[in-house]
Amino acid sequence: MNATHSNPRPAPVSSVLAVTAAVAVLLALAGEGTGVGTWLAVELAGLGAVTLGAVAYRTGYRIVGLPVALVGGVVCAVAIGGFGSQSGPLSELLRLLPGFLGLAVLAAALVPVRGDGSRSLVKLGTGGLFACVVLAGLFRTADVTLLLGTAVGTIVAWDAGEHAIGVGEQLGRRATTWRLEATHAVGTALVGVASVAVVHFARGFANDGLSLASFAMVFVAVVLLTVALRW
Amino acid sequence: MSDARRTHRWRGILVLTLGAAGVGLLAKRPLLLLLSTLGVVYAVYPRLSSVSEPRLDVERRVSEENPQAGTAVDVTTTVRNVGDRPIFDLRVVDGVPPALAVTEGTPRFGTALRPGERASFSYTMEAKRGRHRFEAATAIARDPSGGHEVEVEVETETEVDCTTDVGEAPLRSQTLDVTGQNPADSGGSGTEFHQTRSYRRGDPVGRVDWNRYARTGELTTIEFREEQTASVVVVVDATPGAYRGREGEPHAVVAAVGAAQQLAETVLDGQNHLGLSVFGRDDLWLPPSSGRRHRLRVQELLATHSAFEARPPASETTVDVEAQVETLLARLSDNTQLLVVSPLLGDDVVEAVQRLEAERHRVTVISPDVTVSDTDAGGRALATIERDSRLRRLRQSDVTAVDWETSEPLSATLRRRTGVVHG
Repeated sequence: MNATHSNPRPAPVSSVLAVTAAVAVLLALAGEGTGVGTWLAVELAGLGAVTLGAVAYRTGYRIVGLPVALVGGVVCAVAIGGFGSQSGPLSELLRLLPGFLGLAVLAAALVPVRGDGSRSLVKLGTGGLFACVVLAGLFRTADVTLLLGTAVGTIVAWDAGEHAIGVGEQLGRRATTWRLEATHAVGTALVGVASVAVVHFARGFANDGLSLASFAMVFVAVVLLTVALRW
Repeated sequence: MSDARRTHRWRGILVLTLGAAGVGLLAKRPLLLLLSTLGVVYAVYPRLSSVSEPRLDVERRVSEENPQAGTAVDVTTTVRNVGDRPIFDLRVVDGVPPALAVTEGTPRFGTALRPGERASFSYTMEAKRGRHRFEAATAIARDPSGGHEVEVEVETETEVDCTTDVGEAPLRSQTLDVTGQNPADSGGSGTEFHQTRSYRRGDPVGRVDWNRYARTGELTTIEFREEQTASVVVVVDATPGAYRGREGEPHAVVAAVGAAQQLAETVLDGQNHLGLSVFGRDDLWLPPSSGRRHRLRVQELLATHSAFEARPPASETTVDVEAQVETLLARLSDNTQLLVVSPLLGDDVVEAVQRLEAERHRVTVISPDVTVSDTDAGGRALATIERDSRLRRLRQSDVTAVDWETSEPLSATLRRRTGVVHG
């Protein structure tokens, strides 16, 4: 298929969806206090300015667009730095910082700041979010539902970001694609919800006192199962 | 058809969740182990959903089928799912004619379609001179997970005809000043009196001069001037070298085919016989003939034959023009005139024309100018000089060569040239 066309940038609907999912994951993981919401709002404002600036720059308003985007970038940096340097429990800061960085990277990949959208940056950004999820599991700050829910949210964010780039490559930003994007995102989210429900259902049968050894066995079984699935 | 190909886009999730589970194992956090369930589920997801080749019906509506050059043409393309399964992820790229540029909107569209459902999208393109056929629309269907995709092409005949009558074909005067009727010196059947001669056995009774027989008792036969229809073969230069053009304009082959379409109409309108041939990657020979069906055949060939394809041939394609000229010569009957439409970007066509002229076929060359005469354009300027020298060489060997500036309608150029041609 002919992939050369005028505007191969990530599709807007999925891009917005990806960033929204990422923000929701961060907010859900933050829990109470430590001003996460405030700094997140500042970061989002910065990202909004970067987006506006980039769009203005590309539509010909270079003199306005460039400074707006730069200011937005600075605001983002301030938000991340501000969150990281505030006083509070170190574990709280440590486990959310990758998410703050990841959100900025994800947004930068989808705006896109440079080029036509980068799949690697989407992976990197959602990878930061996923690190937050894993850290929440390590620090035991999340229960099963929250942990699985935020993991699904991260997957949805990645999927929407990747899909936005794929649709952008084939159809471009100006094509009408919201229906296709919505269908795809709903599919991914439904699968996530279903799998969380299945885990819940299964845990209702299992007893809590499972030894680590048996967990290790389960893990090996899971690995074998996936190997069997792939080949 | 193309089989579904796997995109492997979910692979990373599995790796990541298994990694998280590994961390959970090391740090003795059973909860993290549960994350691998997600990985497994999302690895299975593309396995469970599948995509079959979409069955689509594409319909195009063009706001104006015979537009003036330079006007905007709105195209509305409707895609309908005629299969019995929903298509969750459908991406369509319409086959805009290669020579036309989309000025507004985009010929690309993405949607999801239930069985029987339709969706449409529109865009605007600018009409350029010539007859333009839409290519097949490309459709890519994916399953909901995006794990498989199938690509199909959907063909729908749509055409934008932006040709105008050229008025008069620049045929060589000896044969065609009186269009279609070439008075020959041999007597035969016709309408104009030529001579009488004594009756020979087998002469038609109707041509016996009965008045004279009554008067003198001598059987004579009246002969009329025989009328010959001129036979013209239009030859288009579609050699790989001709697939060049100015920046932002269609290349010379598009212009040449457009010109050939107009010339063919004019020649046929003049009651002449018309044939068609090409110097290019594929061989084409349509013997001179006339009539309504022949006219349709000519236009159909010009619009659809692979030799005239607007897409340039692969770079390694070579065309042996010399051999094609010999083939053409073998096919031509005596007295057949040739109208060669060529941008004159190579010497081979010049030699071909000279060879044809040497074989006593009258050749007229119509040359769309796609070179840039801008002096600071370096290499292109050289192409202009070379082309000028080719035109001069042709004229020196008594070939009528019409230099056609493509931004101006062919008819205008020819009208201006008429004095030269017939004078």
